[in-house]
Amino acid sequence: MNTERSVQTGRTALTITMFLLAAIVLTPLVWLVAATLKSSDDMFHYTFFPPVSHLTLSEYHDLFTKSPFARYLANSVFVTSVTVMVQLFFSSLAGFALAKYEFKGKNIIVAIMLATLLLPGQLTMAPLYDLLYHMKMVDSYAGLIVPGAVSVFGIFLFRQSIQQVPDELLQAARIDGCSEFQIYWDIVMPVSRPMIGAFCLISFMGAWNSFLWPQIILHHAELFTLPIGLNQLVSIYQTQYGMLMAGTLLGVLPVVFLFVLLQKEFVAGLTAGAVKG
Amino acid sequence: MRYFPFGRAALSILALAVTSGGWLALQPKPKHHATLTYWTFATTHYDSYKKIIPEFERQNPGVTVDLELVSLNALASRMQSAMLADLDVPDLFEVEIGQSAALFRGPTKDIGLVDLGPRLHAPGPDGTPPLWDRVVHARFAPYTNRGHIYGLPHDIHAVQLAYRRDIFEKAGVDVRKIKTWDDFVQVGRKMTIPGKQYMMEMSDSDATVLEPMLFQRGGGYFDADGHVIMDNEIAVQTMCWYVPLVAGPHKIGDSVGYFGQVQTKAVEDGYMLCYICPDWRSKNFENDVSHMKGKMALMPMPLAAPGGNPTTSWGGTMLGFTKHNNHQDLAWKLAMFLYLDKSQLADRYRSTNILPPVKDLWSDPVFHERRAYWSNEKIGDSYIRLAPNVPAHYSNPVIQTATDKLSQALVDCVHYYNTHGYVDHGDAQFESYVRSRMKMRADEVRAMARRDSY
Repeated sequence: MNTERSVQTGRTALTITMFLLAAIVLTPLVWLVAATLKSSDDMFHYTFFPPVSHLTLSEYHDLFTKSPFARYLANSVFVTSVTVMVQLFFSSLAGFALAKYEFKGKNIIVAIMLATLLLPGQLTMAPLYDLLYHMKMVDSYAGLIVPGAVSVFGIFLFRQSIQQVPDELLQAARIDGCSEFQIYWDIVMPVSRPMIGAFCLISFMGAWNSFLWPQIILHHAELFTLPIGLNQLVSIYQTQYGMLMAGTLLGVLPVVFLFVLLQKEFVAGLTAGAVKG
Repeated sequence: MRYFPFGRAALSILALAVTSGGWLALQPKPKHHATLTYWTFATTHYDSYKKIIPEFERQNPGVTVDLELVSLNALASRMQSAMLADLDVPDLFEVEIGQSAALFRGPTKDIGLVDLGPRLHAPGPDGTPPLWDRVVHARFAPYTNRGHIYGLPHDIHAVQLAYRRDIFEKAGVDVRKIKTWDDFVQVGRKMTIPGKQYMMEMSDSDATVLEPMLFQRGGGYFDADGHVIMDNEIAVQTMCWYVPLVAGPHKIGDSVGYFGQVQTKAVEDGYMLCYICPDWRSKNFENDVSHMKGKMALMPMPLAAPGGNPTTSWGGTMLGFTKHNNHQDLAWKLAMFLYLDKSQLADRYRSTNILPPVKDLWSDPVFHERRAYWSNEKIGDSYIRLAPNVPAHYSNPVIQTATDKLSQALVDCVHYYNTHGYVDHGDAQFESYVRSRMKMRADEVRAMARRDSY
């Protein structure tokens, strides 16, 4: 009985602690939501929610009417989703080759690829800019997508995941007359779905939040992605806090929405192989 | 899913790509094959130019201008790299004062900017005096290198002090009696309540306010020939005077960061009562702390000594012309249109509060309007009165290093002051320490400057 009671007490304490932690974690988000419902004049005037009579959606209205926010949003969605798709295809293809084919220098290729992860991205920016300039890709969607078309992290992730696929399955497919690409497309990819889910989400977040490279490569406002577009609201002479916060909140929503939609696949991908079958 | 083996996650993202791609395809982007390309970093400049450039295009048939808004942080380094690598550069561009001199590195013949000297000294159209005679000369100083002028100043940025009029009035302080910094510090000692209220926004770790104080006293980072002078007697005495104001038990200054939400809150709460306020910052206050309308006012900067300079400067923008440009005359015409055309002065001034550096434009009525925010004062008038006194601010390609090193010297001196007892101005030991640290930091700048031996 005593044990039961102490378990119950423990659970209650844990629940309260979790609620408190959740409250701490969510406070800035609630503050952000509250701030977007204030007018610019009230932005820093009330600690949290202003009186109901002062609540307004004017900052959202301004965001869409006084800035090309819809264009920024569409640019971000387009560039991010195409980047993820392209990355997914090339990374999984390369991961498949490195996991299931034997060829000379394979290990050296993997080692070199992994070593490139140690190089800070900033180191390659100048030569990359030069290259893209001569390929006439500066200030274009291609300039944003092409440099990120292959992810070393993705290749490594898929290589590790595809190594778990039994060779016998691939052999059976070959006996059935499948081409090597069919094996990749029809056999390997379907069984790698959990990893694909995790990769998509991680890759989406990376591309969605990308700031430095778009800042360098883009010149014209109609190509700006969301982070660059929102940054325009922070000017040397004026910061439009209300619009900035409304834009930030709207900018976070797609990632949250995607996570909620895909959380099963994401968690499955992260825990794949964690439990011995 | 039979024909799409990547799963639900990838399918959702593919759907997003197709949808957004479709939407973007229906919103084609405009073509940018223009006669002139113009880069600016300030949204307010961008917005005002965007409004009037169609008029310039109308007055010059066949000419098109591509105006681009480029990030402040990216602009100077991008310009520098692009000019060195012979990549794409605009025909005209605006750059912030602190970043401009970085573009003057190397042998003169290799600088990618046009020397504006001949154009500045040439008579204007219809017999108007040369532009050189119409602009406050001090504002050319930051953009002058080895006798060549590489930039046109966009502004003057004379400085006053913005203050919470309501709080001073409640305390019975008449700010008109504050003539010198000594008077100011005396009032500051009375008004400061440690941890709750400070007389002025001043930092103990970055030189943002120390720098204009130095300029006010006739000091600076470099002399007219580009030599480092940030450890000269003026600089040492300024530092000795400044440190006790931001450190120790009698400090009257504090900072919560010069911009952003925390600073906005500090203004509203009266945490700091006075602020260094060049013309452009007065617009920051109007926009970001609009609740203080009618409670704020401006006063002239106190004098360092009777007869001293009543103002200083903070910030600035340079307009440069690249050698890459094949239409130099047209570019100059555009610059004159954007900077001097009277038809758009009023709009731009009201949206930025920035006083143009061309003296004959100041007679426009817009610069003499009363501002309700600033307790109904004619703030344009007061900035105009101070404009001719703005000190020259000489520069050098290593100016960014110099500003960082001045901040480091400040941190050193504040630390010494806090750990070796608090003294008033005139303590020989403290002064000796300040002198040695400033020399050390200045020597670091000199070493950096020697690398650019041209």
